[in-house]
Parts: sequence; C-alpha cells; structure tokens
Amino acid sequence: MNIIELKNINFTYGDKTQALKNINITIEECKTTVILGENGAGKSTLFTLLNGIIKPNSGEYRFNGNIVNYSKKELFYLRKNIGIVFQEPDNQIFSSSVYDEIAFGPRNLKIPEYEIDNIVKESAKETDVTEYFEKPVHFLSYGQKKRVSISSILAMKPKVIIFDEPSACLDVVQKDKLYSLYKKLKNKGITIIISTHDIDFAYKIADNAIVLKNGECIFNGKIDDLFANDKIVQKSCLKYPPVYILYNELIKKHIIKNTYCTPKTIEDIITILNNV
Amino acid sequence: MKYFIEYASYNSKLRNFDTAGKLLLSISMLFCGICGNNIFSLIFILCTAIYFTVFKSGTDLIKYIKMYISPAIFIILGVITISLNIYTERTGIISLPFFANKFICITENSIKLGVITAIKAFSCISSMYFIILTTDIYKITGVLQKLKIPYLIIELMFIIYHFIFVLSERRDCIILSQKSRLGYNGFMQSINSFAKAFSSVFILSFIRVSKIYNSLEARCFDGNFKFSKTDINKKEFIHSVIISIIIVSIFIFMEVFL
Ligand SMILES: Nc1ncnc2c1ncn2[C@@H]1O[C@H](COP(=O)(O)OP(=O)(O)OP(=O)(O)O)[C@@H](O)[C@H]1O
Ligand SMILES: [Mg+2]
Repeated sequence: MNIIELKNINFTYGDKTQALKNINITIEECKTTVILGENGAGKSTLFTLLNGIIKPNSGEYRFNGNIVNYSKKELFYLRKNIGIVFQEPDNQIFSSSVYDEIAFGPRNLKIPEYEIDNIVKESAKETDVTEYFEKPVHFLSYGQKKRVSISSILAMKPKVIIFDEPSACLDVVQKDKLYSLYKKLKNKGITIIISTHDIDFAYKIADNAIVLKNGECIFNGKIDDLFANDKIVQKSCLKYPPVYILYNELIKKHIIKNTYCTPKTIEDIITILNNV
Repeated sequence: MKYFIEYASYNSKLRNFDTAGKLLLSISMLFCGICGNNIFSLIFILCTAIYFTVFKSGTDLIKYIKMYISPAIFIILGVITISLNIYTERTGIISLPFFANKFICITENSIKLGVITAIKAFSCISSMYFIILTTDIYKITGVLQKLKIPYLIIELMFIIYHFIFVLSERRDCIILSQKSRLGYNGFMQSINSFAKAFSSVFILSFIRVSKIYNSLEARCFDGNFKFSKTDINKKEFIHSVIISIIIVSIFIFMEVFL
C-alpha cells in the first residue's frame, strides 16, 4: 500500500528558486525508502513539504489515501503521523534540557504526564542519550545533539519517520546503533524515509529509492533496480556501492553464482563465499 | 564567561536542593532589598546573598564579581544622577557653577540617597543572581508553573533565555570564522569585519528562528510551550522557609532598631 503519494507537485521558494519540479512520487508503507541526490537537489525541501510545513504551489498530496487539504485539523493529523528529524540539529533543539526536548512532542500530543516520563526514557535509551538528561543542550556535541533530535521524534511514535541525513557526523558505533534502530523500527511496521549521501549506508538499509536531480524526480522504485540502470546512476552523479561492484565482479569471474537475493554488506558476501 | 551562568548552575552544590525553596529564599531577599531603607539592613541582605551564592553553592568568586561589572556601570551612573542636584544658590558639600545663576550641588542627603539606592540595587541583583547561579532554568520554569504564575511570564522568560543563546552562539561562530580567515588584522579590517558580523548575526538569527519554528510546527506545536513541572521536596522546602523567616526577621529588626 502507498502511504504517501505526490502528484505533479511544484514548489518555488520566495527568491524564485524552483526547488521541486513536477514531482510524482509514491512511498510504500512499512518499507524503507532512501532519497538520493546531489547537494541542493531538493531533498530537505521535499521533507518539509511532506510534513506540511510548506505548501506546494500546485499538485496533489495524498497521505494514507486522503488528499491533504492543509486545514488545521488535517495538519495536526499529518504531523502526528509523520515525524521529521531535521538535517541541522541546531535548528531543531531549543529546550533548556534534553529531557524537555524529548518530552516536547508527546506533550503537544496531550499525552498524560505520567506516561510521558516512560516514553521519554524509552526513546532516550534508543539513541543512548539518557546520561545527558540534565545537561543544558548548548553543551552537547553535534553528534549528541543529532541523537537527541532523533529521540525527540521517536518519542512521538509516528507512523512515518523522515530522517534528513541522520548518519552524518555520527561515529562508527553510533552509526551501527542507528542501523539496528532502523531495523527495529522497520520490524515495528514504521515507514522510514531517509536522505543520505552515504551510498553504502543507503544500499544496506533501503528497500526503495527515489532519486532527485535539480528538483526533478528521475527515479522512483526498488533500490536494486536503480543500480541495475546505468543511465540513471550516471545521470544522477551517484556512485555504485563497493559491495555491489564486488558482487558483480565475483559473478562475472564465475566465482559465485547469481543468487536472487543480492548481498547488501561485506558480511553477506563473505557468507556466500564461505558456502561456495 | 559566556556560559558562566550555565556552568555555575550545573556545578552548583545547591543544584539538587529544592527549587521552590531556593526561589522562596531568593524572592524574600529580593523583597527585603526592595523595601529596605537602612544601609545596614541592606548590606546584611547583600552579604547573605553573596554568602549563599559563593560559599554555600561554590560559585567561582572572581567570575561572580565580574558578573557585577555591567550592572555596576549603570548603577554608578544612576547614583551620580541622583546625587547631583541643581539649585539657584550654593548649598551642600560641593557646588559648581552651572549656567544662568544656577549651581550643580551635592548635598549630604543626596549622597546618602545615592548610596542607599546603589546598595539597594546591588542587594536586589545579588538575590536574583543567587537563584540564577544555583538552579537550572528548566527547573525554575517548572516551579513557576506549579505556583500558577501567569503563563505569559514564564513563556517570555523562556524565550528570552533561549534567544540570548541563539544570538550569542551565532555571534561566536561568525567571529570565529572571521578570525580564522584573518578578519581581525589591523584596525580598519577589524571594524569592517565587526560590522559585517553584527549585521549577519541578526539576519542569521532570524533565519534560525524561522527554522526552529518549523521544527516546532513539525512536532504539533500549538502555540503553548509545556514545561516540565518540578516536584517540591517538602523537607528541603520547610528548611528554606525557616531560613527565609530568619533572614526576614533579622532584616526587620535592623530596619526598626538601627
Ligand atoms: N529558504 C530558502 N529560500 C530560497 N531557496 C532555498 C531555500 N531553502 C533551499 N533553497 C534552495 O532550494 C534548493 C533545494 O534545497 P534543499 O535544501 O532542499 O537541498 P538538499 O537536497 O536538501 O541539499 P543537501 O544535500 O545539501 O542537504 C537549493 O537550490 C537551495 O538553494
Ligand atoms: Mg538537505
């Protein structure tokens, strides 16, 4: 089922930058979709549009099958169900303590205070920020802020979570944790949308991919189909993930046979090689 | 110095002491400071506040004194204006001719008034510094909310507090980036860089504010900040009620008998 559908969406900023041009996109429910594209392709703009913060100049936005009509009630519903972790944590974090920051969303959802405490602790645990609860937010490092901003969205328990470059600036351990967090969220049936420049990471986690270039959507489909299509990969200035290159090379040299489940990580390839 | 308030409250020995108690103590000292008219009783309040902040809470003395510099400038200017009066004849301790048969005079009374006003101002400031330097801001907002203080005031306090940081952070980033590219070599260059930094601080802060607002909206913000309520520790609260009563009684005693 498609949870999000955009039809002929256009959006122009005040300075006449046309950030989104005639976008047609569908996003499947319970799947992980990555949005790829160069700097300035329009990824962050698309995300603010999905959350209803900016309104398209023309086009149709359907969420859960219903057209979004930007009434107050509808926006509340939209934002309750679509959480967004912004690219810049500094633009998101504003409370004076980490605890308040994470509790901000649930409080707006009018969840009773005694439940909020549990929710906050639970979501802080997911990104390892419990130890900073009492710390004033200005003292946190960039990666720590990023993790706080992720927790603050998890606390709202949305159906769809948008991550705008979540892995940037995270250390190796935290990146792995993020990866397991995605898997966990996915198992819970949450739709995940991620924009990233880390092609390895994208290849590892995504089911579907959307490629933007200069505000236009040039690909929307399965991520395996994306890399099978040389033209698009070249046109969008993407690179092949090393795992993908290695796998194809191994097949070409007849070292391993073409399995129908493509490996996503080096470990997968090692397992295949061990079985040969 | 920039984060001094934050560091001080974070490291304060009284940090985990009941916030409502500290607030009561600080407000009762503030109240005494406002009502007092006797130099000794005002000095008593000033000393008590300093005692609590520096000795009980462990604030760094030098930095604490530095915090008084900027208010001191204004207070001294104020005192000078109060002490100087214009008369048509020569009176008082010092008198200087002004124009058209008028004299600027300093009288004993005006000096006394000036000194009392200055000490009064300092004792009020020190009692406010006491709460600021020992307590995290979110705990203060929490208690104020519990005390049913009008929501607008709490919100205003929170927003001002937050945007002071937004502005100062922006300024620091810009100045750092200019310095790293040799923007402050020579006098003219410095002025040029500073002017540019000054204007962009405001522009960037506006953009930042609108982005923060986006993120609030994205999380279903309905126009009302909801703060954590801070719990009141009864034992500690009673403790500080007693201290407050003692301070206020000594203060009244001094006011009446000295
Ligand atoms: N507030 C704004 N006003 C005017 N133009 C803007 C604004 N925000 C973004 N743009 C422009 O819109 C285009 C898309 O920007 P967007 O931030 O969506 O890119 P992005 O794909 O997220 O890039 P990145 O990978 O660098 O994060 C860019 O050309 C950018 O210059
Ligand atoms: Mg972006």
